[in-house]
Amino acid sequence: MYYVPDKFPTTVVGSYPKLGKAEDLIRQRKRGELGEDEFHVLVQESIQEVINDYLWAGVDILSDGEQSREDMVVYFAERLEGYVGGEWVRIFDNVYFRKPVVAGKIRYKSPMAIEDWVYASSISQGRPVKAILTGPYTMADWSFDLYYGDRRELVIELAKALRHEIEGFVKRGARYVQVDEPALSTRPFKDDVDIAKEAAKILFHGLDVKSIMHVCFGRIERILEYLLEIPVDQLDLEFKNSNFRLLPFLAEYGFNKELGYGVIDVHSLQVESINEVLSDIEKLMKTGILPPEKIYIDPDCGLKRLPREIARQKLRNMVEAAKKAREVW
Amino acid sequence: MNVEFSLLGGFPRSRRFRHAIRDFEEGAIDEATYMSVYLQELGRVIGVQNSFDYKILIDGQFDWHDILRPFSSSWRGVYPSSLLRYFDNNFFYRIPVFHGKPEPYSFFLARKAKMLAGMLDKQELGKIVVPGPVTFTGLSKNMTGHDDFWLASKIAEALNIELRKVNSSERFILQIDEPGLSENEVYGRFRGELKELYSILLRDLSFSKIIVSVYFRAPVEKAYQELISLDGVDVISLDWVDDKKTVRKLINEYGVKGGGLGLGVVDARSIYGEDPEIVAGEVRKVVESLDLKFLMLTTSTWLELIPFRYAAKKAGILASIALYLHRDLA
Repeated sequence: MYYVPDKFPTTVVGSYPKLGKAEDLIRQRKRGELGEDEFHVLVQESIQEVINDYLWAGVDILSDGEQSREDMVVYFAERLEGYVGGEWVRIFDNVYFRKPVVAGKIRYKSPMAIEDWVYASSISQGRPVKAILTGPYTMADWSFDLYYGDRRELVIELAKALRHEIEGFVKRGARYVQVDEPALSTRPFKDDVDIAKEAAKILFHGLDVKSIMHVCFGRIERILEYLLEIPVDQLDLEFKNSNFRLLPFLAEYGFNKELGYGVIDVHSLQVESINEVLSDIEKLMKTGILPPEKIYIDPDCGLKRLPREIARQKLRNMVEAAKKAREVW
Repeated sequence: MNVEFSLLGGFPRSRRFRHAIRDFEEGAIDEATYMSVYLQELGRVIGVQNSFDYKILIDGQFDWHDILRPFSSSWRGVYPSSLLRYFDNNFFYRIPVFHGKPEPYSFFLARKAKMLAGMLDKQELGKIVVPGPVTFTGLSKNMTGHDDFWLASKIAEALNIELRKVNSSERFILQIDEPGLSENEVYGRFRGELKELYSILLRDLSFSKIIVSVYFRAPVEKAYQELISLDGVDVISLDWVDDKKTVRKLINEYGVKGGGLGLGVVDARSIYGEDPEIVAGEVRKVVESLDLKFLMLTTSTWLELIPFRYAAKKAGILASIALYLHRDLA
């Protein structure tokens, strides 16, 4: 049994660079050359490599690195009833993804990400592994909707479907469940957060699990007040990339949840030094808003776009900085 | 009332062109091969517009990685850096980092305009699209040591230099994209300064018509007031799809610019196909009480955020809406 530190536990947001054969396996599965079961067995080799990196870095709460997921929305869309495959839409530069299309009633079919999580947990040397799935608001926002014609209705239906997956995680022993809602920061309005709030109630109501919502990039300060009303234990937010612009707003709005404190810029190839991360932790501690027991140290977002060596080193320095922080606070 | 219509800007890349870009960037094909694919793609985008009888044509900007990139990668004093979300889209642009005065030297816009002009019939106009100085500065990182107004005015100067290099500019409409004016955080940094920035940007230009387009949301109220008093601008184009209520309020309360109005009436971010007759009916209700000389209908934003075949469909829907309105309002 691994004991997660009481103060400044370190964690990850979820994705990690695709390692080993993960990319090839995803392609083979899409071409129908691999069945779903076989795919998840074969991708375990990549998950093992991710876990090795996390253990080398010393991260306390791990993830499976999302090695099976070509994209955070497409992965779940391909496994929910009601979605049909989309066509290529640009996401940046010349990089495209198949934006999925909601063409029928959304229904849960079968476990989607649980098997990878179970495997990661089995090799994590007792460290907890966070169960992570894309939130219903983001799923809806980053899909084309040809069926519901109403954003709220689609989000709520997706939440009902994703609830089954979360129940599955909890039944298998997950202690931390995170839903990723990066789309929330793009429409910084109360009405939109209210939809996410209603969805979060559906996702987590009555479950004995640490519930986390990850939101990143965009004008988070404009919705922070409303985010605090979302019924989750922890808000995991990006700080580093936006130069800690959000910090004064935590005090202003009386931030009282646990905080996932993003101190690693996932869009920069420059590895943050231990002292830099420590200094960034100090910025939060100086505000006096939260005790160390409610602060989780992690990167701003998933690390998938970084080269592996840089991702590893960033995590290692983050962990070392958290250790030093525990000595100070 | 004259009813005109054109696509707002970027058209999605075809699979073939995506592969050509990849191969060119990896050095697998040479520039001549890349350009031949580019010209075929340009023909395809023009062909889509011709098939729906567009008289104002865009080149589709399908080779632009984002609205700022051709400038940030070809001017001195700036370079494209890390990715950041582009407004409320699941699309990312590379943040331009300005470390000095921006200076154009390769004049890519003039070359693009020449290629587009070569595809136009005599009765057709081309449309050139550039980012406005407020949006450009608002989406950039200013490391120049000067304040944001200084940078915005230098960007306006640089854009002006690019635009003055365009030959036969009377054959083109100029569209200046200012989605940043829909955000208080961006507009607030330049409040009261649009007149000066636009006087720099538009100095000595002789385009057939000049449009400022605000999309993704309605412009901030004060920004709209500034926009309709700008010298040298013929039309302000607004995103009707995103926020009909605010757009209606702005035009009813503050009027329109120069007797013309631009409206983005086809949702360029959704693949759902609008019924042209219904949309035309809604637009008619708004504009028939206004004393308009002309109405410029567009898509709500660039079409690059939906797949190619849906973009072509949307181009057709826009043309149909214009046809309905032309019949009713002409």
